[in-house]
Amino acid sequence: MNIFQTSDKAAKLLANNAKFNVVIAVLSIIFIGIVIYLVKLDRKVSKLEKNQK
Amino acid sequence: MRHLNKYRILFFLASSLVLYTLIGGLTIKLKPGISAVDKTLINSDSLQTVNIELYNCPEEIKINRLVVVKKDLLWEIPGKDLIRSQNYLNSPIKINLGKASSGLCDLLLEVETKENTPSWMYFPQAFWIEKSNGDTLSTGNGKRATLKDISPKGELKLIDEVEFGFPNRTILNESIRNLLYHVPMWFSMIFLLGVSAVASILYLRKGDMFYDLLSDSFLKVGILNGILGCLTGAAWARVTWQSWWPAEDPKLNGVAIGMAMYFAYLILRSSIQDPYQRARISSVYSVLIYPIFMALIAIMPKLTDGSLHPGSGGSVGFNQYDLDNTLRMFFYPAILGWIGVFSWIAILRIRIKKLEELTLEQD
Repeated sequence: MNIFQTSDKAAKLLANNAKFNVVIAVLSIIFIGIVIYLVKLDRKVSKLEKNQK
Repeated sequence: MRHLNKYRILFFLASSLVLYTLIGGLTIKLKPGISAVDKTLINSDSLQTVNIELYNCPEEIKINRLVVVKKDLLWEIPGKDLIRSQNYLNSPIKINLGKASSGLCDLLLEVETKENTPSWMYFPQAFWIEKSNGDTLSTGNGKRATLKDISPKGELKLIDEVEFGFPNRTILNESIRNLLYHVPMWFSMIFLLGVSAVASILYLRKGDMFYDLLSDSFLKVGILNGILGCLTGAAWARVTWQSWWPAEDPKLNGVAIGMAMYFAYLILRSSIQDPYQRARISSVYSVLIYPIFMALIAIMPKLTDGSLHPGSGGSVGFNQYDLDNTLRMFFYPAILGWIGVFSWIAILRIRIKKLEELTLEQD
């Protein structure tokens, strides 16, 4: 029975996977945001260390 | 145990909660559900075939029948007419509207899981049924009934109450997992900005510069949270609502104005040289904008029906259809965990700033 076309199938599966990818995108954004902020804090600590010497 | 100070205990507790929600949120399967229907329009009084895409629906789950619902009109398609091929269900549909008007209809699939408990899979607003010329002459083949009338086995439950897994919602599908990562950003922001506002009040009452530092640090990490919430929300909206920033949503407009007010705080604070004057003015400003911001993101969207977010207009944010028990098990720990992690970052900033002041005094 050829009522289920493969190209259609692939396109729809892709659509569902794309929605999982957005979870990965969201987690990456949060991770990058936290890392950027922690690097900024790290710079402040480095400055303090320089002043100590 | 010398290295285990109280801040590190907070961080360990909070980050293990976050780790728990990360592992659970990425590995737990979605419940079976209908993910798509290949027709958007069906003509009344003609035989048509509709392809229904099932998601995470193993072969063990038996499909009993399909029910098309349009207000109080029902059309049943018995299970023997449905042809299943892996994740696809092919169904002949012959609907005669009769005197009823054309309109949107919902789909319901009665399925039987391993324990032989029948339950419904629900797909809202599946397609539009359009009237044909001959319709009004006939009485139509729809049954005037409610769902309870056609389930002789007693009350049928939604599949959410029977299966284990995250709920499978239309449009959202796999991206429902983002609830555990995008939403806690906002809860955490509300918490941090609230701490900041309280600290500002305490500064204005007591004049202790520590409260100014507390307020400033929590506010800045709160802004970081807000930015992360906006960016993650934009990515999520692109996939589900087809737009990076659907501007008709009052919640988004409120957030945009609120974030602008908090950016103005940063400029205001950096423009004043004298530390005492800076502390006083920024405290007053911080106390002033917090209630406005809360009104913009929490109250204003409630007063209109235009918001795409759940919990706007007359609807409840956390009703049983938005959150089921499996999702709840991870949602609340996620909120606590992220609040803990971001508070720890804010405290880290306070400690660094304190050291900075100490070294300045020594010079």
